[in-house]
Amino acid sequence: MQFFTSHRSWLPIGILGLWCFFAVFGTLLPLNPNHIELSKILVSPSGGEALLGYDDLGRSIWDRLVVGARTSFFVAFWVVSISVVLGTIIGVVSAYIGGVWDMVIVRVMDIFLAFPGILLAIALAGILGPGISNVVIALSVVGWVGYARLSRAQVLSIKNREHVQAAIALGSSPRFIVMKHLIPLIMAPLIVEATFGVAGVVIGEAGLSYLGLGVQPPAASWGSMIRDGADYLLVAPHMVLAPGIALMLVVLAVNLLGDRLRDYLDVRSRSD
Amino acid sequence: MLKILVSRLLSTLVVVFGVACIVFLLIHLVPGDPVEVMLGESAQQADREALRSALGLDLPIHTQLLNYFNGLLHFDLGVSLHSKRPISEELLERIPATVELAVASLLIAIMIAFPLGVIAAVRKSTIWDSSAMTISLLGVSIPNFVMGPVLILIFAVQLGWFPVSGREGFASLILPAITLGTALAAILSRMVRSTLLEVLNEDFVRTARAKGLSETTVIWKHALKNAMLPIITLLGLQLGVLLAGSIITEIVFSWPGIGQLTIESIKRRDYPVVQACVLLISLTYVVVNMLTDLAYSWLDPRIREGNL
Repeated sequence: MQFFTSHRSWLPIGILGLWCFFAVFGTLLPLNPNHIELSKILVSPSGGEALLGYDDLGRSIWDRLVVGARTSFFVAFWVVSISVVLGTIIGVVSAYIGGVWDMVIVRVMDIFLAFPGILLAIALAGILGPGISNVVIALSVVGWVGYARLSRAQVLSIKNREHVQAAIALGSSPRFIVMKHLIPLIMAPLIVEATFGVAGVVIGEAGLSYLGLGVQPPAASWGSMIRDGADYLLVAPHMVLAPGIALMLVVLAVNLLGDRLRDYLDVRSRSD
Repeated sequence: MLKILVSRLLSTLVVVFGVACIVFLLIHLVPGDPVEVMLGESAQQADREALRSALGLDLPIHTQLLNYFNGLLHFDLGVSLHSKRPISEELLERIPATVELAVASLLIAIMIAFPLGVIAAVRKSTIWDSSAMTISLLGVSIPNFVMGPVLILIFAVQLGWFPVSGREGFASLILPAITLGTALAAILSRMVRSTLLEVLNEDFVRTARAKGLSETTVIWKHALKNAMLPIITLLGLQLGVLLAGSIITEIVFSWPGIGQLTIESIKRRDYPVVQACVLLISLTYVVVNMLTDLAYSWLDPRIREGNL
């Protein structure tokens, strides 16, 4: 368990731990993210009670930040889970069956990859209408392709190995071979990809909410908090900075952890 | 080379066809009746039917698809519901702003990424390398819609050097270009570093060093030249970051380009314009990638002569 004990993993694990904690247990905390205090409109952070200040409606930024953590965590959880499962099934089956089906699926993947970044998600979220489930749908439609392509490439490189041939010769069913002999071997790169995927989805959700295509007011998302704050940049920069820094820390932590995981799971670079 | 050309063109055509089909289907994903959503609930029945037949939504779906492709082939993208003008005209008005922003960002990205990537690769595993890669990691982790407001806060609000938003003159281009350019530079510098590291392990670099060439000559003339090919291909793929990033950046800075038109049209429920914007952006991406791919095959004699 050298991965978890290394001091370089502490910071990202700590940040992500806090993120998960607030997302899961946030509802148990005494928070009033929609409570309006007219006397505190645009009050700056000053320690004590006004931990991170108040927004343009007099709502506590800290309370909204915690609720926003919940939004981004659950979107990330669902999008990455759906994308990984769907993408891996499609990729593995495509590579294992081969032939015409494989060709068709590769073409379909090429078509989805032709939409740069979150363009397709923006269009889908815009057309399906706002709401958190539509955000999950839009980001999953874009997300599965990466995992499908990766798992297909991985399976193509190992499906002719001796242990798979032996399993076929022993009369194992394709289902058994896929589950026991192929998927366990391609897990490592998929885990790394999924880790980086979390960063992409967190930015994607915040981006959609920033554009007004994500969660609806008064629900809080870091992206929509940044959008609301942009109008008050001159008088209350904390409205942008607080959610902006939270977002950056989570994405940074995920990327750091992804880098560490990649080095750890890559046996060749693990010299010691 | 001809064989590569034909096969690339064919596969690009398949992708273009698929992209157009998905974009066509977008309007059918509108929950409920798209005409009602576009006009609002208070619209008269006659207006609804007029719009329905104007968009061809009363026709069977295969006829609609045929009409759609027929229109695309004649550069006829329909009429905007909001401005009642041809969509192609609106797009043409917006393209220069987006191209300007994209080119400026690309230049900034290259100016930052190359020095950073080269320093990191040449001084691998030193403090230089780790600081360069930390900067790059920070860049990847700060989304455009955080970077943009922070830059506005510092350089437009506090220092007053540049306008806050809009597109008036050269000064207004700088902040959006830096926002988008640094995001790209962060990714690009990592690619420059890893590609250069690979090249530095090649035999010809060892030979160049053994000949007694100076380290500067080895890196700039021998290594970097050979690293350029893969970097250019990767740059083509990263154009997607630029195109998708420009949508949000244009919103942050009220930059009147294609991205802003896309989001404005989504808000106005002007779906034909949304479709046209999405199609334009993704086809640009597809065509640029095909061109970089072809340029790569043509520039690399091993592929050009068909030996690889």
